[in-house]
Amino acid sequence: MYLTDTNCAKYTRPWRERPDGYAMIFSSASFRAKYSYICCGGWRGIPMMGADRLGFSRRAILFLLVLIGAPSAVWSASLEESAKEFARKIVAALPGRESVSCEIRNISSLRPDEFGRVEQAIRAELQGQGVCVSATSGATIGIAVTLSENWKEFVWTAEIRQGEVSHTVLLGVPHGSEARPATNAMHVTVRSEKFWDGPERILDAAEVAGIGGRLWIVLLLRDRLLILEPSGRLEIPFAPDPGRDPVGELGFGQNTNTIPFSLSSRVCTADLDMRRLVECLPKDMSGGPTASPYPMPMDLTPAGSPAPGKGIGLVISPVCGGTNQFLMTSARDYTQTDSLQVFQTEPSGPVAMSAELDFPGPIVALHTAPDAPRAIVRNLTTGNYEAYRLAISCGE
Amino acid sequence: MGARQIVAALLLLGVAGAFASRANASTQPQFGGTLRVQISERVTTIDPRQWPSESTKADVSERVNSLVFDRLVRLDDKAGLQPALAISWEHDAQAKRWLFRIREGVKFSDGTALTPAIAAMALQQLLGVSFDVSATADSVVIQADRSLPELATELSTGRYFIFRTGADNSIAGTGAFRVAEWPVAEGFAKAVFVANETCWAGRPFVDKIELLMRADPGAQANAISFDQADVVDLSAPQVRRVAQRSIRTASSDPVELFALVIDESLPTLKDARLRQAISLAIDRASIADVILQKQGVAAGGLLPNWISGYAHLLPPTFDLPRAKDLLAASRHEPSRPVPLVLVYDSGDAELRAVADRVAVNLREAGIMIQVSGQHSGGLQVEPAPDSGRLPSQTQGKQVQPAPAAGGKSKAITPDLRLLRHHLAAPDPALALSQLLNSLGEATAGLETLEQVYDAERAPIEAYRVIPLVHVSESYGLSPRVRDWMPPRWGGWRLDEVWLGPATVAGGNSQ
Repeated sequence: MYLTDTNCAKYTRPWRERPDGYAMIFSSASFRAKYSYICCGGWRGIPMMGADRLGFSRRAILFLLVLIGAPSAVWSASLEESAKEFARKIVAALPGRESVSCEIRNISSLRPDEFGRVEQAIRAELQGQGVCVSATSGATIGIAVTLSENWKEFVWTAEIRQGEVSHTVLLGVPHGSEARPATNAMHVTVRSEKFWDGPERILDAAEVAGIGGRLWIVLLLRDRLLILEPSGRLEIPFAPDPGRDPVGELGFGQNTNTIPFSLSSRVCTADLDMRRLVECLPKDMSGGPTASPYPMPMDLTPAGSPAPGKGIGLVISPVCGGTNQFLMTSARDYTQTDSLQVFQTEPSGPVAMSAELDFPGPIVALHTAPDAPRAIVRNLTTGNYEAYRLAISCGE
Repeated sequence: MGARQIVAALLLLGVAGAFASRANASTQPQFGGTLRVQISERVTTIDPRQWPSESTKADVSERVNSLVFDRLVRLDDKAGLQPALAISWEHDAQAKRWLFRIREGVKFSDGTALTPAIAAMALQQLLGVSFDVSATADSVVIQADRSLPELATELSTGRYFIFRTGADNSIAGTGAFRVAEWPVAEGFAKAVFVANETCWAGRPFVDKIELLMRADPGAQANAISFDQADVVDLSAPQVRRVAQRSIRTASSDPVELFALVIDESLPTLKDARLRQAISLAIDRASIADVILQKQGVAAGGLLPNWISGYAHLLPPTFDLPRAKDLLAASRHEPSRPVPLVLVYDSGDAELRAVADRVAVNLREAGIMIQVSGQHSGGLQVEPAPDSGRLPSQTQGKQVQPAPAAGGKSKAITPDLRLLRHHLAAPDPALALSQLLNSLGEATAGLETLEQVYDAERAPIEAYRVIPLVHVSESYGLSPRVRDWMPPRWGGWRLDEVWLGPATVAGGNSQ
């Protein structure tokens, strides 16, 4: 194992071409997604005026509907795949395949429709494996399946009873798992574009459309927001993040004047118009949605073991028709240069999908964004910190 | 003015009101002030080398020590490992040799720079001679004679703080606070910590923490009401009463286990049917709802469900008729002259109340029982050498007889021991291994969920350990306390707390 002194990986949804708008997807601990939609009227993510938005509404709704369906389908497939794996574990522990009863209950946060799919998948796989599932009354072997969960994953249990003898099968299913095996390896390209560098130790950086549609660069530091406008720079200070290691991420507000950001224990909002911090709220320790009206995207790290020799990971939206893809940094420390590479989870383990993209120093943070992930790098030659926009696409 | 205009005006007023309340609710943290903390336990030393053997006392020591010291790594809110004094770490294929790269630019509160050599020296003293801890130019290397795949996680909990001992035997840390006053006299129990201005992780918000230890548990709520304290620890039965007085309370998820430990090697308890009868005779729901005022959850397993996820497989069972049948089938003689002896730590009022209730239940089933409050000591039980875990920091206790009146003590051999164990980590394998270590149970191979479940089930199904309840850790908070955000498994993060004006209405959080 090798972990670098960096921020955690983030969930992202990259775009190969800038759409007319984009959906923001926020996940809760129970992996239920929330969506919001922001229209863009031009390049560099400049939000449209209210009047312009009306003309795009139909396309926007259609686009949103497509997007809403995509992650749900992935999650459903993941659950069903886990259900099949669980059923196979049950079959392996069964003393016989004749006259078996099976009761399934849900005491976890799985929604009824999700539970229904899991139940159906378990029963189908049991029957597919040659298990004769019969009525409870006449069965000699009883299986009592319970879909439960602890604070970090679903825990599925099956108690198999035959007379006085019983055996228990357990399976942990990560809340955010996408364990669906992928089979179609494609060539993926990763490109980077530096959009800022400077001496400040930044936790995150983003380009936003400021007042009048002008492009601003917002830098999140440990103790302040630094906004670089065409006419100068603006600082919004806040109490230094008292965590043991500075961690922070910029979010995206509902309007151009506010920008939410998260620190290790707080979610804050700054008003760019008023040039002040609006509020900081404690993060919800239960992993549920924060009380902030500007929810932050949830971090997702790749499930399973990291690729050998690799460091931190960032789950990405699959490209080239693949599934379970993620970015990985190199497993090096702060004294060495770093690189990024796309991997895909295969039954045999992680498989590289792209060449390594080198950076002039360690990647100290990977951040999600609705249009492209961001990497924060400390340039070993200059000593400066650099912010990169990443583009992940299919083919050369 | 038409209806439209009226509606528009009302909407504008509403929006303006919303913005006004937003502005008033601004919660920008503030620096300064003294945080007054009262706890009912007494911590005798902050030296990590002198670690309490009991898990509940070790838990308090861990909280106090975390003000002054840092570890190599820490757990974040999702129990993920994060860098602290080590910026990265790696191990060999067998997980026997670990390398932790030490953060540069860190200073102890006495001004001395943190070096790998100092960190290695501290860890060597805490890990013991079965580990070889050495330093390179930028790293600490820990070499073990067995595989320790979870070493980094284990070093993020317990006593594994990095400290420096001065020539005058003083002890310094790199944490957010430094000790300004420490009680030396037995009767005086007030410690003072001041902000470490040069803390590598940033200066804490409050200037000073006044920690009053061994506070009267019954007066904790009054200390908040009369503005004598900002943070007090609360026993489970107190929480509801305190909340009814509109005092703000905060509780963790259930992190303490109350359980009966039975010595099956004793002739009186060799019969498993008797041990099972004891288990079935105890009404755990009443203990949770009545004795602990619904601040506890009836437990059939050692780990609460929020940690294990499979607690439904080990349900608590109360079946008095079955207990009587088993008792009759066993050779237990209810009328024998020497009853079973149940001991508990006499310094713990909650344990006493639970012990009394257990005794009532057992007598209802026909089991003669004598309850005895005794002082606890520290019997060290080493884990099996191939357990893949560090030596337990909170290992099993041996109950020592309390001095009787007149200064003489009478040794009593307990048949049953009422245990209170603080689960130190949210990781099922780590939490269970520490608990089983404290009980002297085997902990080898806890890598899969099935292995954890099997290891937990073994002492329960043999009725060597009878889980009773899981209880939350609770605090009373003054209105001044802001950003009280401990992890869900309890503890403190006082370096993140700041003090605001005492104008916010109380609220309860869990």
